[in-house]
Amino acid sequence: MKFACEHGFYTFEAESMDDTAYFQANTGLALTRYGAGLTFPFLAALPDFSIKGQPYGNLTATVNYAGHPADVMRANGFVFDVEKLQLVKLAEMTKTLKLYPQQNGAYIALELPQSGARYNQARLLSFAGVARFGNQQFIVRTYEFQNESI
Amino acid sequence: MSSKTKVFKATCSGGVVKIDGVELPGAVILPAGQADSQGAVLISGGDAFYVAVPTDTLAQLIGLVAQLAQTVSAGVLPSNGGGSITSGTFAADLLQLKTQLDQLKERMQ
Repeated sequence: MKFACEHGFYTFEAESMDDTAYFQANTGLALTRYGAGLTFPFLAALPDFSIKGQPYGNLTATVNYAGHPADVMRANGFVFDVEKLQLVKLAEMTKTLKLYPQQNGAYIALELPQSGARYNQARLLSFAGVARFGNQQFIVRTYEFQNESI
Repeated sequence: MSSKTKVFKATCSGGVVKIDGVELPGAVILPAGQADSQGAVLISGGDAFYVAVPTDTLAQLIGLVAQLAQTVSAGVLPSNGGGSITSGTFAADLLQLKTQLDQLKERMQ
């Protein structure tokens, strides 16, 4: 199963018929249809605009913005917490990632990576890869780190 | 980072733009009159603009133009045997219409 996370907005694409069932069995997380792919029900319900001072998901928007929910989340500094299943502020994300770097530049995680979580001195903001449920691995092939040491 | 443009019906009163009664902070009010108005808000990426649709102003303007046409039609005589070809109140009527137009311009939406 392919997965992608853009600024904390997760999407998934089943490669085989039982991928969605395996994902739910492995993670305990349900997915819903979102365009041509899948996402978490909470994310699927997010609007494509935010108004400063008004609710956006479970948080209060900090800017006016119109665009894909992933970009609205980035503009507001929000990411989706896969444990709490709701939005959190990026600045308040304190989790750390356990990633295993590979020689080909990919990283292997043993659970779905949390967007905004720290790895070394950087936050993992956006990433994409493939889940191999047989090995219980999430192989992160492309990624965007926000270096907080700068 | 992508963006799109969303359009909403909105109102503007005292420099405050609202969408469905909810204030939209930071909206740029595009140049227009100072009176309260209804219009549209465009949120494009991170920018928000308010554009008034001055329906009331336009309606009043059309009404005044119609009055002007009526005044000229009624106030200009076809002939008057060498005397004034305008009615006695013609100048006053025109002045009143001018005053109304000036007032409309002041309170334009």
